[in-house]
Amino acid sequence: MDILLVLAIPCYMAAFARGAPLPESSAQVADQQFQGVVQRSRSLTQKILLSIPDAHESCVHAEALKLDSPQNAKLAVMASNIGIPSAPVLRVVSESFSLEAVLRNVSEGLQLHRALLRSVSPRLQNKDKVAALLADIKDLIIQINKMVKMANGEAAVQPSPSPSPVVLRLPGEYDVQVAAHLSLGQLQSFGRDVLRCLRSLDRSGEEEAES
Amino acid sequence: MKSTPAWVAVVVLLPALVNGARNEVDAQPCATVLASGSVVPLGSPVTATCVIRDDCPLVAGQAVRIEWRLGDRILPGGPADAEGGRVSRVVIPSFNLTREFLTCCVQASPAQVVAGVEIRAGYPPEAPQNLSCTTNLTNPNTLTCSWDAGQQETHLHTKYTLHTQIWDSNENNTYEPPPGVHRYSIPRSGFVLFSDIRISVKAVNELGEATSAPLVLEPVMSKTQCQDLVSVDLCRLLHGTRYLAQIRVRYQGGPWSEWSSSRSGVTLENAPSGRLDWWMKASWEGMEKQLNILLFWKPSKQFRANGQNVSYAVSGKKLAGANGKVCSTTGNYCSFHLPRGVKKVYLSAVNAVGKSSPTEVNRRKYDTLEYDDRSLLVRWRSQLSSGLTGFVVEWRPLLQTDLSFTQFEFTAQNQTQLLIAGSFEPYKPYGISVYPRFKDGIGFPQTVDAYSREKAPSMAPKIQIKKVWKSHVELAWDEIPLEQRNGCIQNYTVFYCDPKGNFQVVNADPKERRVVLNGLNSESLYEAFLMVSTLGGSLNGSTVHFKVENFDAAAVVEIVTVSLVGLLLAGIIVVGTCFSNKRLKGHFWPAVPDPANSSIKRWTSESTQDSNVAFDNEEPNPMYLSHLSFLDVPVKPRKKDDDPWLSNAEDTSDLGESICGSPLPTDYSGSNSDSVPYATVVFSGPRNSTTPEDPHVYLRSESTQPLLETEESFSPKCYHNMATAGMPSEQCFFGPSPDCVPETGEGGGELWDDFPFLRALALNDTEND
Repeated sequence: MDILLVLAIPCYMAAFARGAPLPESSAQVADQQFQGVVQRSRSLTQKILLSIPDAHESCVHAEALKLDSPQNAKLAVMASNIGIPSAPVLRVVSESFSLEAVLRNVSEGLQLHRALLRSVSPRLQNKDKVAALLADIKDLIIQINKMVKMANGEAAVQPSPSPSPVVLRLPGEYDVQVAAHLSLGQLQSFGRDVLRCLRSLDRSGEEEAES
Repeated sequence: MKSTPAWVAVVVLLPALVNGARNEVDAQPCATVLASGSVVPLGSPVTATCVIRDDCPLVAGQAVRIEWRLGDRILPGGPADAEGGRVSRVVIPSFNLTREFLTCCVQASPAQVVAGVEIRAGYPPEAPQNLSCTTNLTNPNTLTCSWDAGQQETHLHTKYTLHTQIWDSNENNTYEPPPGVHRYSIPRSGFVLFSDIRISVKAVNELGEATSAPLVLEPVMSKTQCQDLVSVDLCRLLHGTRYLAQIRVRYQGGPWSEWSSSRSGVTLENAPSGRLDWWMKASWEGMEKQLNILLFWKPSKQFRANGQNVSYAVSGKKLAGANGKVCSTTGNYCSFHLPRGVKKVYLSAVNAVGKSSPTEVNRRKYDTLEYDDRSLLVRWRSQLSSGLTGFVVEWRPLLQTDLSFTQFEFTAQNQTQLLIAGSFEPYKPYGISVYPRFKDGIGFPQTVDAYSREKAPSMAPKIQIKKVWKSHVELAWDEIPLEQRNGCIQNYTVFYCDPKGNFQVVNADPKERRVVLNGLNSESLYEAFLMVSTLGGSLNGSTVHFKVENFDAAAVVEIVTVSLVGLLLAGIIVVGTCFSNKRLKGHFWPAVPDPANSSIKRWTSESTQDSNVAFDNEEPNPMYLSHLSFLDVPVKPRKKDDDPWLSNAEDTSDLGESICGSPLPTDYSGSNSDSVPYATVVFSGPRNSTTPEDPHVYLRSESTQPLLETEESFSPKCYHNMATAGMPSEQCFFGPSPDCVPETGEGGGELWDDFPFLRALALNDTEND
């Protein structure tokens, strides 16, 4: 009898217990409309990531400059010379970082990379694929901003029509090549982080996993 | 260098200034035309005013009449107003032209156009219709929109512009397609994926503008599942076949995307399936009595190769070859020998995986009509018999020796015709055969050569002159080679003419290929040519010349025969003449008297009747004697014999004289001294021309007469001829031979019978005694 009681109490407690809710962003996250935007954002991010290798091949001709190469670590000085800003570090949604903060982070990072590519693009011989990439980044920014708007409930969020330009020092052709290479490489890395972030927001996937 | 003097510059520039001033003065228009509008709606009224300047030289100081022209047509203008006729106004109630020039003319001498203006008319644009846009998500990403212009023709230059508005990015863009183009591809930068875009088209011309109904769309609708792999099972594909696959995607009822690039794949192979239609022809060959089989096949409608590289195999039990296989070929026919005892063979299709189930192979009057250039309608008649199950029609090009061109088709038993379409070349021969099929075998075929279309032959045979006679000639020619016939030869026609131009026509049998031309004149050189005809046309051959011979072989033979006969007759006549002429005859054929049958003289008196008894019977052939003489009795005495004949020999009696007329030379000596010359027959007349003078004598002596030994008994044994030609002096001796015993008395009487001359002498002796 005692054992039964001992066993029963946790069961009763468990029955009445509820999981502690996350911050209010969880409600937003669960919103169907929000999820729709998340899906689209993931789609766009994947499209960007798939397009980066072709864009790199179209405009970066130097043999030594390859995406995902360990040699890229040697270009830190060049990056500093050219003036390439580094991408913000993305955080996951937590108590310290709200959904809105995370999304703004994403938006800023994307805007940074868009500005970078817009600075390099005029110096490139083959601009078409980079132009398409810029359009995709712009569209992704718009989706992210929508999510930000949904997240903070504000009436409107300033859309970012054109970012503040980044001024790069590109004295010669090699500098242009390095700038394009580093920008695309950085975008690729950032894009993967964005994708991970968006995947974490993708509740529809979780629902499918549970079901 | 000296600087150019200023006055030189002024001089140089002055004319230019003056000219410029003058031009400026001259450039002032005499009149101006002001119209209510240079572009007006079609059919609307147009008012125009022409104002002539006072200082226009045309109208200086005189009243003028102003005339309005619209193109070539004179318009009734309003009267000049009070300003001295310098202003005129015209109203065109309804301007129905799309563009025309309105000119103001002054009726001076000569009339002058002083001003003009172009008036254009049309319609304001209609709002563009049916605006639609399609996203192209392949590189490059574009959003292509298209629309229809209004149905009404505006007659004016109308500009279309595409206006877009994206709310999310607060962008408004305008795009202008080229003139006349009613579509535009918005670049990637002009639209935002997953954001609504509002698109409209505005049409603007000089009479107005119109905007289409706006279109709001999202370039990519709904969720995307880029990471999900889509797999589709395609069923009911054929084995061993290469397929190309493409995919396109559509989002929630939106438009379809473009087709992806194609990827190919090959399905796994399988053994062939389905039946093969076959057709077999058999013939006995050689002494070994083996059946030579020619087997054709083709896939039936249900046949499936199920793989690449299909070959066909024919096999049967008890047949030579590994596992009884007689044929393995990728073609469509096979020729092999079927030994005795083997009745069935099996035909199957083979590929890399396996082989099909084997098909068992075990063993009419018609005419063809042309149907079109490449088809044949084969018709036949047959008697319906109980065992008849159908017919097989087989055809092959005769000019090809390769059997793979042979084709066949089965027909039902009640069918009497078959249209074979599409595989016949015109002007080429095909061998068509129809075989009746029975339950237990195939019957004998009827075969005919056919052409789907005929034309004239490509070559005409050369005429050869085979034989030439006196008044007719035989012409012959070879058959046209099959590849140049172009049709069935219907007939051959020979045209020939003489030098005067008289034409004759002779038809020849197509199978015979020869013709005999009669009634020819041997004096003329004839021309002839051959025309060979098919149902599709005729061809004339080259001309050949010939002439009949005056003397042909028959004539020669005739002449020779007649000559020989004539000669023979002449010869006979000559010989007959010779025979009738004794001299000639005696010259050619000297008569050799037969001593036994010789008769020197015939006495017709009674006294000699007895003596003639001996020759009453069987008077031998009278000998023709030319001369008869008696030899002189030799002077030396002779012993007197009992032979009465000898005793009488001394006495050259009448008989002797009558027998031998001319005395012979005395210097003779007989071979037997005891022989007494009996008689001498001397021929006068040359027997031999070289010795015309030598008389031929026959000598008789008492020696045996071998010539007469074999004669009849009436021939006396006691004398023989010794005569040889060329012995002039020899004499004839007649006397008893040594072994001849003279007989006396009766015997002597008998002797006398045998020797009529002696008897005659004896008679004379008795008379003389």
